[in-house]
Amino acid sequence: MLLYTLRRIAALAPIVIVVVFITFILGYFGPIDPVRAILGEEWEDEQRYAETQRALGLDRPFMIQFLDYVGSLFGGNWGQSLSAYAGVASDRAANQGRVGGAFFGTSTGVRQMIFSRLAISAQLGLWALLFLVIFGILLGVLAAVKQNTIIDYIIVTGSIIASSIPAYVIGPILLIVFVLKVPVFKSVGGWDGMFSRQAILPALILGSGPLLVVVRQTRAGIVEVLGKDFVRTARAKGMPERLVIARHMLRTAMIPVLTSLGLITSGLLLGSLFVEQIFNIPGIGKLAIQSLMSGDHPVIMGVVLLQALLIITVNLLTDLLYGALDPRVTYD
Amino acid sequence: MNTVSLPHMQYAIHEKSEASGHIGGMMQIDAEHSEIPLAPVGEAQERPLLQIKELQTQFETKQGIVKAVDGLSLELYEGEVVGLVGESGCGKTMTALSIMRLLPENGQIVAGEIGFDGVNLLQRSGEEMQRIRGRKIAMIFQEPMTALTPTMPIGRQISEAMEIHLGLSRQVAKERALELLAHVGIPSPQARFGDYIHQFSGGMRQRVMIAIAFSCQPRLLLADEPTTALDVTVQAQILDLIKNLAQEAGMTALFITHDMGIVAGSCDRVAVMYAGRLVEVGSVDDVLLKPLHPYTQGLLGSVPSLHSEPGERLSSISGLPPDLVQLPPGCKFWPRCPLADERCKQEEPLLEQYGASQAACWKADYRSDSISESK
Repeated sequence: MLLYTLRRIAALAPIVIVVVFITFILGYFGPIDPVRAILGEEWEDEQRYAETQRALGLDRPFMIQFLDYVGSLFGGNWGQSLSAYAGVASDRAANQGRVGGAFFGTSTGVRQMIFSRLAISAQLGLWALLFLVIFGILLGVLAAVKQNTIIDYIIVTGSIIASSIPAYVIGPILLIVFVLKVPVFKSVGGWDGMFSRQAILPALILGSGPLLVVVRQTRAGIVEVLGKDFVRTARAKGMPERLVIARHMLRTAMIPVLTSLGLITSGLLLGSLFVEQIFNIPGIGKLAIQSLMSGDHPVIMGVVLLQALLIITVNLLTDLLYGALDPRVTYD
Repeated sequence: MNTVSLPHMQYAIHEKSEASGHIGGMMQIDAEHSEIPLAPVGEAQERPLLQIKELQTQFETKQGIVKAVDGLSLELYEGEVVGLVGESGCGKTMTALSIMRLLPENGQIVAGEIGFDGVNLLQRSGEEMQRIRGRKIAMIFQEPMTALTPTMPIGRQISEAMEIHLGLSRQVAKERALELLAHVGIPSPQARFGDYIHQFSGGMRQRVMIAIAFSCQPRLLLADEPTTALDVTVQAQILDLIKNLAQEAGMTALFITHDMGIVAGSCDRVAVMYAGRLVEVGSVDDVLLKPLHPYTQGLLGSVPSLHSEPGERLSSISGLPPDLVQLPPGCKFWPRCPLADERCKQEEPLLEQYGASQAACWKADYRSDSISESK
């Protein structure tokens, strides 16, 4: 299994390079001009333009720029946010109060920026994941056991509703209800750490999006094993139904759920554009929006790279977890 | 009560008396529910351990209601091994699952009575049945490939029932499971305790299944074609194992099979089943040597014999078993019966005593006479 893990990690490098290459091409030929982003209205001054371009190293040939970027990536330097240069758009955004002040950070190193934001998104994502795993699986099992009864219908319909209302609809509604009408939460948004009250609403909304997938798949998984011979054997031993489900059915039924959870998890950890925007949480999602709006190309590159890395890592973890669920899976 | 001769079984009883609280409680509950007080030792033979009366089990299918078991009555006395034989789909397995109350979802027991140790199982609650299953009545299933949980170590599958039924601690249950594994012939049980079922061969899986069935020393064993899915070389070993264990523990057993060889070698009595009902019941010697029912004769005729000449054809029963959704009136066997006449097509024969055994056939009288005459 160690060997397998190492091999998988080794196979990571080419994937990352391809991702970086594609993002780099898009940045190079794309509509965002970093020089214009920095200079703002001054960009028409040809001398200033050329100076800035040289300072950023953008006058060099494409391949040189690319290799330089990849080289510094391996050295742990993900580049500098354009906000490091004077008069940058994202600074203006900060001044206009569109950004959650303290968290915007003083550091302009892309890596530092991204990882401090990731910490916030990941904490939120972890709560959402916890909510999803506990309630999704519990409700799924209950729906399967009470198959084709009113309880089953209520659970499935309920999760369809929970999953189909978009975050930008349910978010403001919950804010109105729980902040204005029934003041359970004092402040409207922002981030005050993982264990603050402010984390509850956004985590619930973030987690209820994929709830339907988990409920349905758990239900389908359990229904599929309900009639299996080995379940009958467990019952024939006189095991209480609760233990039959927990010990004999759940692990087999969880295998397809794990596949979905793997895909969902990387999304949750990376934060959500809508939820972070609505609740003013300075996570990765919000950073992505800001950097896109301000044309902060190094940050966009960093966010994409982080996404690729996270998806690959979660995928690897998922593959390793299959082995924990299903003893027939071996890693050779 | 049974005398227990297995060394590990004695040890288990010792364990049980130590783990007094739980077991004591369970025994009391059982005593409360038994309508008839425990019979003294001498009378044990008089009262059947299992008494099935007019059992009717039906299935709802798209084609209609399938009468899988239709008015079956059968008694099993303490300590005897009874074979239940018949073609595939005649309701043998459904009879066993009815006793366990583990029918598939579309199945239902619509009438009858299943008396076990003086208690009607059909009137027990789900929770009471849980305490009977595995503890008092154990079942060995046909398919060792699919009948064990693939995601649980085999050792745990044996020990978990003992934790529930006997109130053993996890550690003690594990030690017992190791002994059981050794007893059913699994080499190096310590090393294999944590193995999963996909690491075992068919025969080994069935040994694990047997260890599970015997783990709580049930009084009644239902073995549903325990050797059908196995290689011929392994079949005999598994059969001997079940037979010996059951004998050692003085267990009552119902062997469900379509193999007359198994019946001849392992059973005291045999019940022949056709289309959901019994057509002949008697001691193995009587039924195999002097079959009364034409169906039993047909079954026996289809078994190859050592005296057959090379190239000789086996006799077979013509036709197919009847559709259990639309049973013909009269004797259910008449369309395939060489002796059938008008009466057989109109009136259904019931089980009646002819000589030493019972048969449900209008022609049995004549045959039993002719057999005794020919003697």
